[in-house]
Amino acid sequence: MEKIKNISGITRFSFIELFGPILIITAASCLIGFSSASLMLTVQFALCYFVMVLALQVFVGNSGVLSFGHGAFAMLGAFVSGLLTAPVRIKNNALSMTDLLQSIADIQVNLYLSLLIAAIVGGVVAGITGVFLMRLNGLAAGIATFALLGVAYNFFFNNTKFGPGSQALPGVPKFQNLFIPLLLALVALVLVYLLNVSSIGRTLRATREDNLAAPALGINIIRVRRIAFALSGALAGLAGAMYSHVAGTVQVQDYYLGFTFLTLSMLVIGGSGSIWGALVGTLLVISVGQVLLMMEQGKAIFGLSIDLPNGARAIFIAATLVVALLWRSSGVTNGKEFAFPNFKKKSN
Amino acid sequence: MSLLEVKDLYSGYGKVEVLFGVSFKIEPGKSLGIVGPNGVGKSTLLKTIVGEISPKSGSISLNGIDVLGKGPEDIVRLGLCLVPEGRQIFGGLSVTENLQLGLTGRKDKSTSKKALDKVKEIFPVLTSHAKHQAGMLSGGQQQQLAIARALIADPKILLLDEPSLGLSPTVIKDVFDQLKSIISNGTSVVIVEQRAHLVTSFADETLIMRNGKIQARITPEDAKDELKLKHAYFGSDN
Repeated sequence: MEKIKNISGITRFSFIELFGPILIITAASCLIGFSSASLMLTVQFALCYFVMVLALQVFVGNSGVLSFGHGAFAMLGAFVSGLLTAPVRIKNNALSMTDLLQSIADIQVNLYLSLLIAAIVGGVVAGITGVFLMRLNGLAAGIATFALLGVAYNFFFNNTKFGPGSQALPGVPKFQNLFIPLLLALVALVLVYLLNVSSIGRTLRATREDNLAAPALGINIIRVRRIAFALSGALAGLAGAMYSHVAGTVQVQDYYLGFTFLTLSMLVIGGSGSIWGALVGTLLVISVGQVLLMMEQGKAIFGLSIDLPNGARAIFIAATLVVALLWRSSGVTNGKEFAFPNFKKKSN
Repeated sequence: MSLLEVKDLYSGYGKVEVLFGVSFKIEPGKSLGIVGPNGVGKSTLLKTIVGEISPKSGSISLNGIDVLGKGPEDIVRLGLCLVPEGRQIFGGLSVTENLQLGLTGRKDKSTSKKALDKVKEIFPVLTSHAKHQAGMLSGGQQQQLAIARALIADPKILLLDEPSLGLSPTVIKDVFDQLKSIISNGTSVVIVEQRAHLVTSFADETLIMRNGKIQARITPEDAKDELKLKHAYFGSDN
C-alpha cells in the first residue's frame, strides 16, 4: 500500500474503491454475458460505453468543463482501428470503398495493435485540439467542443478517401469473446482510478472547485486541462475502436449525437465525480434501456408483455436524466467512490 | 535590496482606476499591515501584486526580479503566495488534498513531506481533520488550512487578505499567534485588514490607504495614540 502511495503524488488510494467496481463489473459481465449470445453482445457494447464514460469522467467529471467533442475522438478511434484491421481484399473490392486511399486499403494490422494505435491517435488529436479548446470555460467550451464533433462527423461523412463516407465500413473483425473487451475495460478503469487519485486528478478537481483560487497555488489551469483532455481523448479513441470491433463495422452516425448524449447521460446520472458513478450510470442506463428495448420490440419480460411505442427508450433516458438532475445534481452516487455500506449504528 | 518592492503602482479594472501611485517595500522576516475602509483598493493592490490584475503603470519586484506581466502561477514559484479573502479553500477535497495542492507551487519537491509535517506542527488541528472534507471545517479551521496550504509552497512572502473575516475574537488571536510563529521562521507577511487595531499592534509597519493612495505609515508605537490612528484612518476632518 505504501509503495502505491509513494507513486508521484498518489495519496487517496483505496483498495476498496478500486476493487469494488472491478469485482462488480467482472461479476456482472460474466453472469449476464455467458447466459446467451445476444446478451453477450449487449455486455460487449456496455463495456465499450463504460470505457467511453470513463473517458468523459477523466475530463468532464474532474475538470467540470463540459465536452461534447469526445464523440469525435471515439469516431476517429473507430475509423483508425476499423480501417487498420479490415481485410485488404474487402477494402479493395467493397462498393463503398472505391475512393479509399490505396495506402490505407493496402494496410492491415492485428486487432491489438490497432486498438493501441486508435488510442494513441485519439490522444494525439485531443492533445492538439486541446491547445486551443482548453483556453475556454463554461458555455464557450461546450459549443467549441460541439463544433469539433461536427467537424469530425462532416469530415468522415463526406470524405470517401479516408473511409466509406456515409456508408458502413464492412469486414471489421469482431471480438470473439467477452474476455478482451472486459480486460480492456478493467485496464481503463484502473488507469482512470490511478489518474484520479494522482496529483493530476487532484489538481484538476481543484480547478473545477475554484478556477480563481487554483492559479494562486501555482496551478497552471490550461496545462493541467490539456493533459487531462489528451488522456481522455486516448480513452475515447480506445472506446470507439472497441465499439467498432463489437459491431463488426464502422458507421459515422454511430458516434455522433446519439452516442454523445447517451454517454454524457450515463456519466451525469451515475455521478460525474467518480469512476463508481461512471459504472453505476452505465449499468443503469444500459439495463433500463435494454428492458425498454425489449418492450418496444414486444418481447415478454418474466412472462409479462408490455408493448411500448418506438422511441420510448430514448424518452425514458431523457426523462431519467432530468429527474436525476433535479433529485441529485451530483448523480446517483453523489460523485463518491465505491464504499461498503456502513450498517453500524452511530453512537451518540 | 528589499524582498518585495512596489513602486508608483497605478492599477484598476478596465477604465476604472483604483490605485494611484502606491509605493512600499518589505524586508525579509518583517511584517507589513495595509489597512483602510472598504473600497479603498486594498484587495486590488494584492491582486495586482500576485498577477491577477495587470497594472497600468509602475513596477513590482520580488528579490530584485521584475514580476510585472507574469501569471499568478509563475509568481507563486518565485516565492509570493496569497491567502485570498474568503479563504478559497477547495471544499469538496479533503484537508490533506488541499494541503498537497500547495505543493504545486513549491520549487523543491524533495522536501515536500518535511513541509507537510512542518505546517501540521504549526496547525495541529489539521492533523486531526486530515481526511475530512475541507468544506466541513469551521471558519477558523478553514482559515488555518488556507494559510497552511500557502505555507507549503515555501513562500518568501505571504500575503493575507482579510484573515480575520468571519472569525471569532478567540480564533483571530490563534490565527495571529500562528502568523507570529511564521514570521519568526523568516517568512515575511503582508496583512490586509479593515480592522486597523488588529494589524497596527501586530505589524512592524502599517500603511493606511484611502482613495487608492497610501495616506500614512504608522508603527506600533504610533498606533498607541488613538487620535493619531483615527485621523490617519478616516482623514483629518473626522
